[in-house]
Amino acid sequence: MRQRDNKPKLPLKLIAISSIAIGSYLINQWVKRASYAVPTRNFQPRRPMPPSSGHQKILTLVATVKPGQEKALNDVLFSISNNRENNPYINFSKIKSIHFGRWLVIYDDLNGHRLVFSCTYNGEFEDVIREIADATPGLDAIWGKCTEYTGRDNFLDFARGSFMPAAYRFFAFPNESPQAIRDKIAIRSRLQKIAGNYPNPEDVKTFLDSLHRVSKVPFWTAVEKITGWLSSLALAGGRGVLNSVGDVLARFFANWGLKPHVATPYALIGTPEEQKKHIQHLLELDRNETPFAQNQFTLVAEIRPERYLRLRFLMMVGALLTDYGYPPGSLIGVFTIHSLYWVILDGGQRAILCTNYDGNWSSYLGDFARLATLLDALFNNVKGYPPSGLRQVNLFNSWIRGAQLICPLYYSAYPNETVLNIIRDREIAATLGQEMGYDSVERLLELL
Amino acid sequence: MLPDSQLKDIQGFVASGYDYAAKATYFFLQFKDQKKSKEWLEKIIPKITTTERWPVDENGHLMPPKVVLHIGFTHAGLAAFGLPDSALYSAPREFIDGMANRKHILGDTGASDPENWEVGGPNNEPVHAMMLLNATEDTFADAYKAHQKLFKESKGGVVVIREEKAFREDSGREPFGFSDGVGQPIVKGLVFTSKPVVSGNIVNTGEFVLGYLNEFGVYSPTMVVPIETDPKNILPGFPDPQNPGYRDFGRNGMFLVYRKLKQDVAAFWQALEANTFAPTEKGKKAEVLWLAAKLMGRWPSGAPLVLSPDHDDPSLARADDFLYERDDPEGFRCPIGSHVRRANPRDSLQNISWGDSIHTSNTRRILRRARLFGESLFPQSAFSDENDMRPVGLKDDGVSRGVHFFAINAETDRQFEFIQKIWINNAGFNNLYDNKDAYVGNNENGDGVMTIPQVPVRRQVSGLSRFVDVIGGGYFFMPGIAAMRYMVEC
Ligand code: HEM
Repeated sequence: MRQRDNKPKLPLKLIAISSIAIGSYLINQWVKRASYAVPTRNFQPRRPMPPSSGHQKILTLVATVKPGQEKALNDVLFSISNNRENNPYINFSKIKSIHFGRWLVIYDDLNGHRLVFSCTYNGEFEDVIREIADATPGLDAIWGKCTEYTGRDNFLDFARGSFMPAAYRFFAFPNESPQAIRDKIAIRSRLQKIAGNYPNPEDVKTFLDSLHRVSKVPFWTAVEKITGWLSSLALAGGRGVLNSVGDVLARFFANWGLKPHVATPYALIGTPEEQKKHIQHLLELDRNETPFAQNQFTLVAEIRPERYLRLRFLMMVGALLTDYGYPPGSLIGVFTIHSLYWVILDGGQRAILCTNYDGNWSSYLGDFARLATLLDALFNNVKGYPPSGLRQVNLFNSWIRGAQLICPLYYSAYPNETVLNIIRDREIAATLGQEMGYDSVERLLELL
Repeated sequence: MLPDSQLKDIQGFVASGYDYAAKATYFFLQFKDQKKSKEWLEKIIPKITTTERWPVDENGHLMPPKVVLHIGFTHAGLAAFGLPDSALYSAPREFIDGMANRKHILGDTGASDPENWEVGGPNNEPVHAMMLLNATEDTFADAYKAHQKLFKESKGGVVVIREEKAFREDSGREPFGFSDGVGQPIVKGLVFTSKPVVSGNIVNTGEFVLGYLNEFGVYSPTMVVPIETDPKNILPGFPDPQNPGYRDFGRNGMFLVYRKLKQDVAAFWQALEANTFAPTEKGKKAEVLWLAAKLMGRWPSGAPLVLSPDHDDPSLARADDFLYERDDPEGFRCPIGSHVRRANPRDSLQNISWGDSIHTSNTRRILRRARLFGESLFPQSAFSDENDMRPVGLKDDGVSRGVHFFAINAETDRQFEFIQKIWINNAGFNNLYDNKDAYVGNNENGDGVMTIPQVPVRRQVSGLSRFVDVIGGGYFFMPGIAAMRYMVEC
């Protein structure tokens, strides 16, 4: 009993640990800023680091397609996609603040077909709408096929009226603007070129020596290292706690109402007509897979009415986790998703899931298997989801591919850049902002 | 090990490359008449080589079959046998679509466009089946004659639209000069191995043969037929309560990918030579070989660079039990973008955690089989140290040469197509920026690069073009024996 009393109580311990962590973080930030001020003798970044311009946002516009116009609209979108450089409708080079965008038609005989435009962007709502209007000489040819649209002059009002907020969102790099990412790509390419001037590794020594003539401030470097280490430990600890809570919740909701394990069917059987239709749909999805590193995925699902609140609750928890639980670029340890978000439609009857990711469907499915609990917990609440969820991979695959929408037009601001590439480019750019020591130069060169 | 009853039902190609049966002819077939084709297939079935265990002679030596026969059908081929629609459309979409239609996924562009193919393209005769005859030198001629006779006896029912001759070098080398067929998954149900394997190379049977658990712990989708079309109970059913009313046509079958790959051997070595710095002839010879090994990830003998980074070591020629991330995370020994490290990244995929990487890699494995066409550009002794021969100063002789490339897998879109698209032809593979596979990537414009990580700065090999062109191919299904008997009866 006595021994116990001597130990500090848990809350005390927690307070102590968190104040060390917060302290370390603050000192680390300060030292970092201070160390930038140390003039480097031979190397000056030519311009300051690209500023990041606030948090990424999501813009989704949903408009009703005039009866009978859906085919024509789809054709316009496909024709833009087939001629990105010289089409009369959209001038992509004028688009600056959008990361990823998609235009597609949701076919719905009951409630009317709808045109969905959805993108992730940085900046203000009005600005991005104006930018889209400016970049789209074919505004009338696209949105003119929707009932709510009343002309270019009223596009902003139209956008306000057809805007649908996102219920849950994940961004791999919430604070990077498209320009910031492109700048980092440019910095890296420049450096690669420089390194390319010395194709023979022997010659590189000259280059290296010219770079390395920099003074070090041992004391501050040491402080920065130690505090940095402590604060990252604290960050990891905090993330760990959040992740465990999230995991327990996801597990609970994934299993609540899910059938216990049953074997995956060996085959998916329908009438030959159904099968042919499904295969046709799959082939069309295949043909729409983008040729570059990235891809989009869009799905519409009917929400089970009795599960609506549960879904919203999970999205809320998910949002908390996304904001504080994962290091940059990671969604539960998966580094292939640029962004992922849900938009709820029709007063909670339907939801659209949009993602931008690296690779193709088949690689994505592998990631899905990893995210199984989370996805089960979410999809559980929509109609048609296989009763055993992701445990029946084949059924899941067939369901989700069936529900996936054909997306005729997709835009990416940096189509060949994977999530991993961005992480690496950020590191390269960050190295440049630092003092150039042998360590950092070596690390930099390794990254090229 | 699978029970004998199942081993007798699976075509042997999954278990062995039958290297000793080095001579081969591939027959591309069309079924013009259903009845005659069925009669023909009935005669062929008993000749098909299965995974059945090889008998042993009195001295305890294995006695492998001298004549080896396998067959695979395209979707159109299965339709020609009158399979019901419900069976035909329970097949995977990429098999229904066929290889030529998947060119945007496979990167078959430019000269490799199916428009230009010799077989399997839109401008060629439709292929219904591919029959692979392999035999030892002494038995080949008779076996070949016997099959020609069978075709003739079908009286126009089965027509050979093309024949491909194929051979194998004793050295086991492919035309660029490297040992081929070393890195292979070990199929759990087909081999008995007592040695522990660190590289996770033992892969579940269901990754290659339908009807067994795959690496996800489930069954890859199979093809089914309605129970009433199988009154003789030829095909196995499903365990309750799976798929009532249907039987399993896919069981013990596998999907076979065939690619006829033409290699521009001279251009490849010339491109490497252009990237050398060594001032002396001797140095250049060594450097060319070093570059080629860096691009491949193995030395010509087969020795992996992870285990032997600086020089070829024939004692490691068959080594296949190694990892990347654990021993060489930066790729200083074996570059991230080398052919073997991208065709099977093992533990080194960076977008997921270390343990998950082996698992993911193992859900993308293929069993590779290969035979050659076209005479070698240089003697196979070219790389031996004694005569100091190295592939420098090569000139093209205009001969079409390369490999008949085969891949066996259970889900072609998840395995072969994935490797081809996401790993080989993807310049951003595993956090690279601009490297496609230097050997087989579609570096269409001759501006391909390949990064060799090293300290202090990485070296970049540039000016790489497309050295391997696809000039034919197809997706085939290799049914189990029972499934073929069903094809005869249905
Ligand atoms: C003419 C074309 C090709 C040549 C000359 C070639 C050559 C080689 C060589 C020399 C090796 C190393 C030795 C070995 O492990 O067998 C290898 C390994 C391999 N190749 Fe290729 N290859 C070609 C095309 C392809 C294609 C098209 C694919 C797949 C789409 C592929 C997939 C693989 C795989 C999976 C490995 C084994 C990697 C491992 O498990 O470590 N190869 N290839």
